[in-house]
Amino acid sequence: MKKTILFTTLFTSLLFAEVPPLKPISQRTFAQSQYIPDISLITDFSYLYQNKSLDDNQEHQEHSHAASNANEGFNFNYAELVLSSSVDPYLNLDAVFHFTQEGVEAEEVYFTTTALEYGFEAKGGQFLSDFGRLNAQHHHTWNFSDNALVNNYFLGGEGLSDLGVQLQWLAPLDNYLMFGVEALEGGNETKFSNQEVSDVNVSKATSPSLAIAYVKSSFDIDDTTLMMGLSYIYGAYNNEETHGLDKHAFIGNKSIYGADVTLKHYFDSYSFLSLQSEYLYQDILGDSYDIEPTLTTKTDINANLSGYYTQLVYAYNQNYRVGIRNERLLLDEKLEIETNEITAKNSIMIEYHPSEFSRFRVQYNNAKTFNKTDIHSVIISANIAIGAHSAHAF
Amino acid sequence: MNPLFITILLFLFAPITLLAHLNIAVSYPYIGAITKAIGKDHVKTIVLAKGNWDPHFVVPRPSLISKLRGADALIMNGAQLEIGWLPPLIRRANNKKVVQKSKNFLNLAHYIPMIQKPTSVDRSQGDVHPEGNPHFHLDPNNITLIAQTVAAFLISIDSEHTSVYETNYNNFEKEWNQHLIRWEVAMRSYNNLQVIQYHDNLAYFNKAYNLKTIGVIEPLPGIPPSSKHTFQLISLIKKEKPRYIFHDVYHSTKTADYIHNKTGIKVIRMPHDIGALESITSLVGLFDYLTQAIATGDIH
Repeated sequence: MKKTILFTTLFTSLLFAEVPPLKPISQRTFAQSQYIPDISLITDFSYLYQNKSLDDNQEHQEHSHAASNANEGFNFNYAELVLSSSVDPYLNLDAVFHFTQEGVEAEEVYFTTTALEYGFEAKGGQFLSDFGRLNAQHHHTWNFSDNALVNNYFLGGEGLSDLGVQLQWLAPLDNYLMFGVEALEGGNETKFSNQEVSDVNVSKATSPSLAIAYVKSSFDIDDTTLMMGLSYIYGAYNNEETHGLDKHAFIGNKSIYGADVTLKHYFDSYSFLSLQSEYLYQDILGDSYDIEPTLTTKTDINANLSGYYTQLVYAYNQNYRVGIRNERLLLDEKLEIETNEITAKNSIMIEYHPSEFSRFRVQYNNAKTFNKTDIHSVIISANIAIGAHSAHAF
Repeated sequence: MNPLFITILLFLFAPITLLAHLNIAVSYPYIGAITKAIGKDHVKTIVLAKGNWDPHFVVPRPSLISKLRGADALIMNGAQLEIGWLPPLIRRANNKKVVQKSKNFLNLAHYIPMIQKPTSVDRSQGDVHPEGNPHFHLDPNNITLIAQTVAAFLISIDSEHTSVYETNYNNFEKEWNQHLIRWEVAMRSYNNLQVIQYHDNLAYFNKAYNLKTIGVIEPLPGIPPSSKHTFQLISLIKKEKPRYIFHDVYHSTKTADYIHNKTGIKVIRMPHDIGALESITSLVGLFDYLTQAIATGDIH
């Protein structure tokens, strides 16, 4: 008994003995917390109401699967984790991960040079292509909760993000003029694919199989800024699809031409009027195969698709903004088109920001499908950010 | 090869060092004015922000990227005043001379004693500046310190003209001291004056002349006025009877005007930089205006 009391007392006195104070960072020997990268987490939630239930043509994922607002009712679209830091005097590293209930996706992980001469910049890794205007913009900077029809259809729900290299050159002029080229793998993107298709004896296309080039320019007239861009993509498209007992394949390539224009006028530090429009034109050239157990039929395909979106956004002040968007998608019947593919849409939205770090939006969409069905939907979304200040481009 | 062709090629690819000056990009107009005063003909200043814009929310238009691309050096205010707009511009300028780690990059905040450093930082308290109040240039005594820092910086990147920069600084300091005396006299009668602000960007000016900010129209930094806070402020004004609201030039005066109607307090527009008001075209002009504003009672 005495021993127990003795040991308990000794033990307790050790527990509550003088604890050495935590030293400031400058005095800790191996601490490296000063090198923690900038970290931010941007979350997006939405509530979708639609008057016609979403089609369950889940096999045609690449066309009808939306990256966000996919389900009726509540959606947890993503928790975007962004890490950014300088690596050394020559490089920066940025990473963007999308966490969802389905798992994690590395949306972008790339390094960029910081010390090249003559206005050059090189980037390598997995990144969103700078093609066009909307593609390089992260969802949380958009003025509408859903992707533009033509961008979604041509480049994918989450935009064209692929593995490769990029080189950009900024001209030494008073006005902004930038030329860029990219060579991307073109492998895992469902919109472009260089995979082998054994059923028709086609091996993997040479990779990298996506070539992208663009020129962007901008000039100001007082408080109005005009930005214009021309972009081009050329990529292999080797695709194989199975629907039940039907097997289809397509071996060929796609060319996409894009033109974009943005006009933005600032009335004061916070309120602005912005007009943004993009027109994309796509050429699909190749052979379409119908693969049946005993017979494979091949058809020459030369399809042309196009589409555009135009959006007008008025920011009344730092807290309120409204916007309207009009879009069309013109498909080619030489290719299989889902009857419920949306080919025309008008949207209107109103947005409230309590601060720079949270955005709440109500958006109404009036869409028309390929077979002329009207779909009305309302999306209420919340985009909330914590962590390092993410200053965005114009 | 055709000699004319070679000549044309040479001209196209000749380095543009025919111009003897340094292109110094600066974030705000006051930095441009100080840099020009020290550098004179040896520098050309490229100011990124307009004087009448909210310094926290400068529009990052692509033309600013081109301006940074052509710069030989960059001088910024610091203390996170530019954090919402400058970093992506620097990134896209593809100019290694203006990146943070370059020896041609100067962050002024690192050389100025800061006030109002928060003991803890959390966005529930609004958009607080973690390094302290960043509007340090509004204490005219700090202008001398900033000029000294800019002079040392110019010498470090262009040692060939050291004596020129030193002379220019000495002349600037002497002249500025005369103005400092003048302003001190002008502000003497306002010692201990209580004022209201929209956002505390005159903290350093007030400290220099012993004015006391007893309330702000923003409930929290970066948060727009709310009815609850405005009513509390009106009660405070009725109790303490401050005579002036010092209002910046970039926020709407709607709430200030409402408070004026309820309490009679005067609303005075206080510029924060050169160009904040059309009549302000120099640093001396800026402080002349600020020190005379109360006297002339420029009621908006």
